[in-house]
Amino acid sequence: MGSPNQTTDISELVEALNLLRDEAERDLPQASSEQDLEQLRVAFLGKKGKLSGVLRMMGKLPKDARPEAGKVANGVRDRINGLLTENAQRLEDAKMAAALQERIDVTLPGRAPLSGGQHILNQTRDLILDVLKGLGFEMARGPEVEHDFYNFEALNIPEEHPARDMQDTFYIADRVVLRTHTSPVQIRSMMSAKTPPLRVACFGRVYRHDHDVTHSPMFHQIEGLFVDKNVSMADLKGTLEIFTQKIFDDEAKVRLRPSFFPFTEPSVEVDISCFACKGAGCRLCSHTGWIEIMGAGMVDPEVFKMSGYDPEECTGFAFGIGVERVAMLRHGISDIRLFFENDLRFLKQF
Amino acid sequence: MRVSIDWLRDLVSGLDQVSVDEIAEKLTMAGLEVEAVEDPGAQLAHVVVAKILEKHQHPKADKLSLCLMDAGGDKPIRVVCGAPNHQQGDWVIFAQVGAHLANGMDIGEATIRGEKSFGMLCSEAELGLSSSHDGIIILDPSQDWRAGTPAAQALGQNDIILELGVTPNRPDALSHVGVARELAALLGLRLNAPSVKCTERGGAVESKALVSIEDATGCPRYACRVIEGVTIGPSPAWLQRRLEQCGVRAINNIVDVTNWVLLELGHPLHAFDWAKLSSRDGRAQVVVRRANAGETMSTLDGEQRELNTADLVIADGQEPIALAGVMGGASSEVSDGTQNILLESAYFQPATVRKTAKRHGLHTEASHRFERGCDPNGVPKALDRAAAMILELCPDAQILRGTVDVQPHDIKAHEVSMRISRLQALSGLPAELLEEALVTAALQSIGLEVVGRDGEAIRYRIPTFRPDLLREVDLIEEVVRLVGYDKVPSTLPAPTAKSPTFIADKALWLEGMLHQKLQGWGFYEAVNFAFGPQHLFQFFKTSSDELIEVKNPLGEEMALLRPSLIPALLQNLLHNLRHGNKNVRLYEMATTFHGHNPKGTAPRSQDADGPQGGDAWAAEAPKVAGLWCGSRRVLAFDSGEAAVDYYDLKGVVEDLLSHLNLDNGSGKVVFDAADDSVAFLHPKSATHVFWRTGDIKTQIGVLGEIHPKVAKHLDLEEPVFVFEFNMASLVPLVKEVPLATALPKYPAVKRDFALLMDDEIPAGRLTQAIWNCEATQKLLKNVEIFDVYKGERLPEGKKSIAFSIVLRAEDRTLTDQEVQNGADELLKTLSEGLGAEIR
Repeated sequence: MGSPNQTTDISELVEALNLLRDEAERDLPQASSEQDLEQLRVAFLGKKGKLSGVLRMMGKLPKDARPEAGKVANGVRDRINGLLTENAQRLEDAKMAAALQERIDVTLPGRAPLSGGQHILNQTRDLILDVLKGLGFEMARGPEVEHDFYNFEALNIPEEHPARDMQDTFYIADRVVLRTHTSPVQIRSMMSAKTPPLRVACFGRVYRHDHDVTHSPMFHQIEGLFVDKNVSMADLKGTLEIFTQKIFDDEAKVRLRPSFFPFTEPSVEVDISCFACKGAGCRLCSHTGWIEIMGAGMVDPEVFKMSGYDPEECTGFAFGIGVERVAMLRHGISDIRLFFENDLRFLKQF
Repeated sequence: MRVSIDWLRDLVSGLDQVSVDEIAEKLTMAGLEVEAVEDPGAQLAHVVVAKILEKHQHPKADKLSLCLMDAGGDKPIRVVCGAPNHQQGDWVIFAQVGAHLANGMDIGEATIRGEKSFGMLCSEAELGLSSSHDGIIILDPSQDWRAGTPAAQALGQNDIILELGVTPNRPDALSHVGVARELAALLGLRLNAPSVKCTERGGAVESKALVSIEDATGCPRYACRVIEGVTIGPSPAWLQRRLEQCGVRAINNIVDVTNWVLLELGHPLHAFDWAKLSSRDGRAQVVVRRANAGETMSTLDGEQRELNTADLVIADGQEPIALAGVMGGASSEVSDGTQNILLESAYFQPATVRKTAKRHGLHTEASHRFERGCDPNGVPKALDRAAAMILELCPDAQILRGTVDVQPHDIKAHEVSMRISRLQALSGLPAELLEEALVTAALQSIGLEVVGRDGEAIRYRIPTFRPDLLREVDLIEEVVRLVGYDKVPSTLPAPTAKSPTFIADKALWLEGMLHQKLQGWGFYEAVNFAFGPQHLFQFFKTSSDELIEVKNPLGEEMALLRPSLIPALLQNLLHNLRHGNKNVRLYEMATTFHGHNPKGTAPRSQDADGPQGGDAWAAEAPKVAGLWCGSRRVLAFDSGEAAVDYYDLKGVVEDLLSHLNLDNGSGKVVFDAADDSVAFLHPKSATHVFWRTGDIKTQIGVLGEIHPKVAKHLDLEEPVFVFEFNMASLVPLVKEVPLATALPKYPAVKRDFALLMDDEIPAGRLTQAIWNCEATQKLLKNVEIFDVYKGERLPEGKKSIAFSIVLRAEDRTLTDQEVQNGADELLKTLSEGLGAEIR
């Protein structure tokens, strides 16, 4: 640099500016990161940067030459700024492109959240109860340790009646049993309602003294009871049709057969056309085309009398279904014991 | 009951024109359910009658023969046979290639010691006819055999057996005649009842038998005949075969006849060896009486039986000779040397027979029928039918003249009235199917008679073989059954004036919420039996409750009703661990059972006498319990093991309780250390969960780690965490309808602190003190502990608890000064109250 007193030639200044521009045009595209670029920006345009250094020579220019020199300097500054923007964009694009190159192994399993589930028996119970709710039945429950009166006598099953053989009973004490069906809840419901009409769905655990592949000492029942004036077997049939179709198959045919239960008369056994083979005959239905699914009937007058209802004044029907049986049929479960082992490999299937 | 189609066809004219399928369908749809159709002949497909044309020695085996068979085909068939008893020219039963024999053997082409063989000559055992392996069957050469005749036909195996499920109300259908009567009615055919005429000879029966009934309630009718000069021997083949097809073992001609009549008419009979009965003046004595206390007898099954005064017996002058209606006695059994018999036909009261059969654990063909109700007026018919058959089998015998028939009271057929209007209302059947003439014709077809009218109602006389028809509704059922249940139309019940309303049941709501939350937390629902063993339940019994025993359990492991849901969950855990399921989260909702027995005396049995129900006997508590064992989280490919601990399960419990709409205005949940007061929980972390209202604490549940003693008892090695809540104590705490709280309008301020305090002070006391601090009480919205530190950097016996508080006012933004003042006051309170100093 010359002495302060020396004047500077404009061409010398312009040349320096042009060199600076050339330098920027060479260096900036080399920047490989945002940090590099920032360093270059400071090096060229910062307060103590190269451009400022060159511009300090301006003061030594003759006054008339300064506007022109200023013009050139501004041009160079604009050019460098342009280069900065351009390269910032270049780096951002490169970064985006690099990010878009990244891959993870989407075939690795996800991290499972904790999740549980409802037992298939209670899923089945809820399905059945939902259908009954839709038909206007109220839910009712009762004790599992039950008195002989509610479990047998009030249901027209006196002591020493062969019908007691139909239900092998667990005894807790003399005349105290583990209920063998949910029917005692019907009696309790009738007694507490005092007068018809009445529509209740009784559900819960019941107990029979029996244990093998198809019998469990504890199982689940759901019973419907409908009492009113002028209820007929035709109403029973219509209700059972809707009920079974909703649970098994909308196209299922329902067949009623005469049967015997001490608490209903007439009594019926309910078959549905096999939903697996549509009645053609298969293993599920033992090649009969029909599957026996529940018992039902018109409430026996004796049962009404025991509950304090006048059988001349009201009639009604009742039906009962085993939740295990429904679940086994619907889901193709062949061993009833699977329900009670609570093996997670089984529970997780539903 | 096993019913023979051939037998039914003998009894109903025209039934041979009806296919087996149709017969089965008719019976099933009339309430006599055909549970199985058995075709013994089906196993005899490809098995035929054949003649041995030539028999040669097998060239390489001494014991084998080489036969050329004529099986009705074009060419003789070669077969290698190992039996010792056949000759050239014999007619035999030949299983051809393709046959599947009853013993499981499939017949194919074979080479036996170098000789080709195309079939097999069969023994009875191979065909499943008997267990006899005494060589192959050689057919009677005097008969006219044809090669190629199906073996089923030749062996009389072409009958088909129906397995009927007869409901307890239909004793009339426990016989071939009963089923035939039903079929005749259903198909409009005629019943051919068997002839019951018998030819009497010799002296009067009264000179040989003296009958008296001491208990006319237990035995309303007793009849007998005496037959002299019988020859005991095997029954003819046709009789034996039919008995066996109906599931009754042939014994000898006399016993077989009584069984035949039982299967035919449904009336059980018994034959005594007349000579073995004690007699007076040459007359065998028969007394129908109650057994004396302490009397014994040995029954035909060889058992010595202790009798009591509830047992009705047939006795001779000295001792019981039969358990009435159940089983005969050994002392008077008909045996090979028997010459004269006393044949009994009686009617016993169902309940009496049932009691005796049940008490002695005897269930016989006879007791099965008497319990359900035989026909009191069928007594002489069965007796005469049997006598006639015995005479047929023993032509030299003589049936003494007359019948002893003691009947203290006349047994009258009763009468029942039925209104057509009621029939129509109950059945819903269309009126055109219920015209009076049609209804009466239907009832007549099963033996009822019209005897008059009671106003609108028609009065019918009920045959005595239908003890189930006692009331109008019983007749209504019969009509609907005979018209056909398929004729009942299908309607939906009309809406009732007072329709049932849905009551929002808090218990059901609570259960639903618990299901939802527990499943969300990764618990699977379990369903377990209510039974369990003493050795496990001993840990779960509380001092105030008694375990409830099942009087007739299915074994030791099911001897008691469960007092807690946890033992079964532990058993489920064991099952899962054994099957490789290592991370187990299970819950169950069910009832537990508690005997009221605070003083350890016998349960209040007198309570059980009234019809209050079992609740007077056992308290039933609806509970929810959960179990967690294994990992804290679901393991992923990049996560390490982290075993569950107490605080994981406590977090679940806290979350559960916070979603149950418990009425926070009236109280709150508190967790207290239970130390060693819960027998099945480790004292380290055993926790009582209470609901506290003011100063009153009600226990709602427990929580903790399974006690090491229980774990050891079950061979559980890993720590297991459990909780159990009584839903009955939660239900009253549930708010009917939770009300919404407005979202805050002004910002909250959060401050963190770390306090140094005595290690012995539980964190719960600190949080309690924070909540109770008066200076901040109105503004305090939350307290959260986020770190607990104990260790080298702290003085011995001290811990540091770091917590944050959230302060907020509902009506303004808090100033820094307000917050600072509050915090200062709070720290002062904690310092004074707990000696907790800021670190």
